[in-house]
Amino acid sequence: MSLGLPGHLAPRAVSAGIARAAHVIAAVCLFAALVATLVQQAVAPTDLLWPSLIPLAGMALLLYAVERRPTALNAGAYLLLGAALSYLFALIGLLQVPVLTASNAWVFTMLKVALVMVGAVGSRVVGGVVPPLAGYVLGEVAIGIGAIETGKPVVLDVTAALAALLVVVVSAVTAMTRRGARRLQPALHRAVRDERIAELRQAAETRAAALLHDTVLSDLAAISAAPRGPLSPALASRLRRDLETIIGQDWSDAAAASELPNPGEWAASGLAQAIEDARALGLDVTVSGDPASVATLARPVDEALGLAVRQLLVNVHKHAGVRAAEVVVYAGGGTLSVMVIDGGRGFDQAAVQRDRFGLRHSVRSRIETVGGRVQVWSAPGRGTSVLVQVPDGSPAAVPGVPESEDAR
Amino acid sequence: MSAREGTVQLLDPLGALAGRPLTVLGAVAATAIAVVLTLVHTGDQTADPALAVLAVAVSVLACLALVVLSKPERAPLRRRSAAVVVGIALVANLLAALASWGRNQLVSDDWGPIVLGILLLALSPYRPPAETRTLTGVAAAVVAAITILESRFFVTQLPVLIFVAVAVVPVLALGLAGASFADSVLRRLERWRDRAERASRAHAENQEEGIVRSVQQGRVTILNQDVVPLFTELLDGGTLTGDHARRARDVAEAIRAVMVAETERSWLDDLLAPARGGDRSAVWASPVHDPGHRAEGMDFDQRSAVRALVSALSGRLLAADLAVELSATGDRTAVRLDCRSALDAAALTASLAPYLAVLRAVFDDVAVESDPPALTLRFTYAAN
Repeated sequence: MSLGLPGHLAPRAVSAGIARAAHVIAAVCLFAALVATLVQQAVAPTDLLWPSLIPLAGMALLLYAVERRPTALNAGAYLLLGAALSYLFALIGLLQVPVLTASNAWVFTMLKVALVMVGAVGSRVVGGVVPPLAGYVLGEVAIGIGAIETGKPVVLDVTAALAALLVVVVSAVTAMTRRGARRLQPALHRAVRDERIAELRQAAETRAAALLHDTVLSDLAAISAAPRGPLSPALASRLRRDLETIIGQDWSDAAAASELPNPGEWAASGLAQAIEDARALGLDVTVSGDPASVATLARPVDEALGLAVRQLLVNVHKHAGVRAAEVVVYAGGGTLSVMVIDGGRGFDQAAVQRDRFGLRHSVRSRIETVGGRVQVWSAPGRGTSVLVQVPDGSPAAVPGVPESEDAR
Repeated sequence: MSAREGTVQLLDPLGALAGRPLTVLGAVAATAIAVVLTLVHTGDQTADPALAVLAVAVSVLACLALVVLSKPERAPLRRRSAAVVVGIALVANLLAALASWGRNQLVSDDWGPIVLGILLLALSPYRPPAETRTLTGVAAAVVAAITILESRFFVTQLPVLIFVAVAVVPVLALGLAGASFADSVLRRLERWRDRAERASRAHAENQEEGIVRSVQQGRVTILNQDVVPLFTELLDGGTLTGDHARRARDVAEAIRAVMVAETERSWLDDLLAPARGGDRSAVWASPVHDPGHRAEGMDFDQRSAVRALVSALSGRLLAADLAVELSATGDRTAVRLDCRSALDAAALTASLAPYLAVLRAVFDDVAVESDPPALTLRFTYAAN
């Protein structure tokens, strides 16, 4: 979310930015005055110029204080004490350096501009306009007095006046224009909030669609395929369980996670249930590897893995044309991997429509929601292998999800 | 659009739009200073009047370039544009120095460095602070070099270093000030963003339970009509008949159709046609034409910007017949949004400006065509 500052903060941010910019100008001016003083002292070692470094250092300190805390007190101190220090600086320069012939000499302009760049006090227009004007007047007066006392002419400093004008205009125009363009900021932030809500809704819809797809749809398929007559106990218990899921349960993962204990053992895991369901359909499922490692999975991950594998096995049952499948479980490196393999007819991954929801919703979206990834290998006549990887209980999760095949 | 540059214009587009009058004012002030100081120097410090006029003309060109390149319609202002403005101003500096070659008496009343400084300051909201600092450094170095070459003509006998300091102060002070301004605003923006992000997430989490419940409610409603009665009947009766099997097939078919339709629908459809009521069964005519599902490729900021635009169009901009089309152009996605607005052209332009500023911050090639009452917006983004 980076679509700008809210209306009530923007004026403060902008005036703080202008104040910071003003202080940078002041610092550059003071630094330039320092360089000029040092160079002049170096070429004329007999002149007594070094004492003018003291007022410069004093102004730098006052500037630092007003930059750190731009209060009225600090700004006032910078202006009044700074004017007094400018007077001292001017006095020393006018007495010691013959080139400095008037109150508008360049090095004095630097000090006047530094005073003008005191920065705004507060975010109101008055606080942005009065301090720089005061800085200009005080600087002219202080250095003017120095010139009069040393018998040099007082000349109006155009550059310092322009600097004061610059600050005043920037403050005033900023204050005038900000209201108009900012009026849509609330709408923008509302849109950002709505977008976040929409994201959540989308995620909930995906979860619900996946749940609906592989419970209800596969139950309906089982009903239409089952032999007429008495309902088999396996199908009956499955219908009973899914009926409960549909109407009884809160579908959010969060609720499921907090209410149910960790499965802990193989028989209670989502993966084991998925395999039992597939066997009830008549599929001969062989399990190998290290099935007990599912015990390490967090509850939502275990659930997602179980539902995804259930869908993969249903796919084998419906599409592969074989009666057997193999499930291999292995763990390592913070990841639990489950491979579902069949020797069936396979499919051409490029030819299958991308938006079919079986693998997309029930397997891929679901596994990606819990931070896992899915990879599919298949070709016509060569069987199908699907690798599902999910983070096991440890904090190291599976890295990014690759853009890979999407099928069935 | 790839990673967004860290500029005030891109990260706070409305702030930059609000500051645009200052950019124009800066250009006007720089022009005025060049003209006035050239007139003041005519006679005593000008060696070649024709070159002096040319120098002013080139500096006016730099100011014009700034105004044109920083126009909201051309946003965002890229590095090349900033370099062009500063480059032209440097040429103007060089010409001004040549125009007063041998006759320049004082550095402190030269307009070249002042114009450069003002332009650097005016550019700062459009470019990253580090880039402004670099440009400032380059400009100061060129100004310093020119000053060193000129220094033998100056009337006052002072060390060269002082002349250089005098010449580069306007460039350094204004350029660095601009960079610090942008830095300060961006830092505040970042701090606020972190806080707002947390608040918004918390707000969304508060809503999550309600959202999940309403989604579930919507689904259960469908299921309650057909699926639940069928399952209950089977479990109660314990016998499966041909009728049950046929009903199971029909219901599965219907659910499948709804799910396919839902897979086809994107967030953009939901945004443009929110009021569908309870009719979830049919595949409805959408004002969004997005056969390639390209809407999913927009990132969070882009979606938020489109969301704000669409809600403004259908709200205060009195637009009707909104239609959006997404298509591929090379490796990018082109978006075309059409509507009819009841507002007159002037009012529409004024109301649309801030939304366009935001769109330009997150999309590329934003273009508007208005032929009242028809209004067309186009923009592109990098397809993920």
